[in-house]
Amino acid sequence: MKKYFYTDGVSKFGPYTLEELFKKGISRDTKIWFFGLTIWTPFNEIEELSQFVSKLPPAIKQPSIPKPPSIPSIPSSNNNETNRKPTIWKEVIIVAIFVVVIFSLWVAFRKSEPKSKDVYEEIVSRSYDSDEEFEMYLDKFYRDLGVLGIYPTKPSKRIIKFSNLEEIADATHIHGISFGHNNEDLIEIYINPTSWNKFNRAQKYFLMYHELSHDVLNLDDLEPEDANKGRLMFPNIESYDKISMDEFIESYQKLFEEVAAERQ
Amino acid sequence: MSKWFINFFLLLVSVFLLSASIPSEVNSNDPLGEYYSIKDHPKAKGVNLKLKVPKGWEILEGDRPKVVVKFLNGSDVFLITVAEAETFFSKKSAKELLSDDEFTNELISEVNNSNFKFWKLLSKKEVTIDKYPAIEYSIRGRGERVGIEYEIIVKTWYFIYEDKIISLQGSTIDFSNISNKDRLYTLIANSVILPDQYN
Repeated sequence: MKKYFYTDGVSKFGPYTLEELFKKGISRDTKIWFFGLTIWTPFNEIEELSQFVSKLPPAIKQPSIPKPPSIPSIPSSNNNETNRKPTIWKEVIIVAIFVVVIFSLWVAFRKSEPKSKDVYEEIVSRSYDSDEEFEMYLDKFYRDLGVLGIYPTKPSKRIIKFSNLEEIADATHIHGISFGHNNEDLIEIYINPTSWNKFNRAQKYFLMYHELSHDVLNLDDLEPEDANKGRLMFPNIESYDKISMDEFIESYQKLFEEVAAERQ
Repeated sequence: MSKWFINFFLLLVSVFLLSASIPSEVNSNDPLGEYYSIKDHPKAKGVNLKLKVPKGWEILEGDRPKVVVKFLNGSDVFLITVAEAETFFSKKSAKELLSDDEFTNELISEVNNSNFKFWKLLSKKEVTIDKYPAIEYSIRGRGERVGIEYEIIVKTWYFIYEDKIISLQGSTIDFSNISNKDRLYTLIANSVILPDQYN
């Protein structure tokens, strides 16, 4: 015996025999589906049921026009009107799920991209002027590049300051940080004063030339492998307990020679 | 207990022998007095260098821009000059440069041609000033000032400290006891200490 389903626009009900269907208070406009129909179709438009249309009253109100499923899902045999929930609750649940998803995405976003922005703002807010002659390192850096025929732009906007990086959770291990990477109009470097005060002269030069190489030459850190130890772009300066000026000089000159060779 | 005592006794003996083997710096025959440091001198360009001043000599400010200080005793003068190098030099690269005869001969010629009507190189050799490669050379020159001609002997030590060119220069126009003066200038140069190389 053929079984029929009907929908109120939100839920589907059935399966029912034709007799049972008539008892469900359906109207001529109620949408029906059974195996063989491709879409939910108003009762009075189903040819094989046309002889029964007169048994049903016409619709009193304009029926809602829900979007019919393009391909009806196979109805569950357990569905019936006892499972019907008020439409408002479904909407509330959908909205709640939507809100949760959006919130989760926002949290995830905050943990990735905006985090660096937050750290930047923290670093800037903890920076301060000092008597340290950072410009001297800058002048020497440009001088030493010029000796090897490298003449990068010297931007008029230059910020080289101490910043209490050890007070920032994500920056405690950082001796210095550059934000002028790939920006020819700006040099922006912040130095951790704790590191600075415990560094020897050669380490200070090493740190400044390292950060300036990021900022001015747009160079990246080397991998922290032993093979790269001693090179200017090696990131773990703290591993140099006693670096000498000779080691600093040889490391920066090697790097500058490589940069000069690449640019020729 | 006895082992500890023996070790302690041996340590005391070692300290005594060691101290006895080192000549005391306070020596009546030592012509040099106290150390003088050019650290923080406005013309020192950040160089931290100290050296001993001969006893009884005056310490005066240098007259010329690169002359940081001069020690003076009558017509005998010892100058310390600091100039900027064009870049940093490691000890290795400085040694390579100062071992290049062509470079050092040109340098010596350039300096002395501008100072003297006539000059003659008396000696030249590679030496070390407190671990830094240096050249030491002496010249005898004839110069003129306000119409007065003079002859002079100048002994110079020239070395590169990181990105600074430092020269130490002892000179005299009184050639009596010239070997003693030469020795004195050498002692001053030998007393040079560059403390920042250890920092």
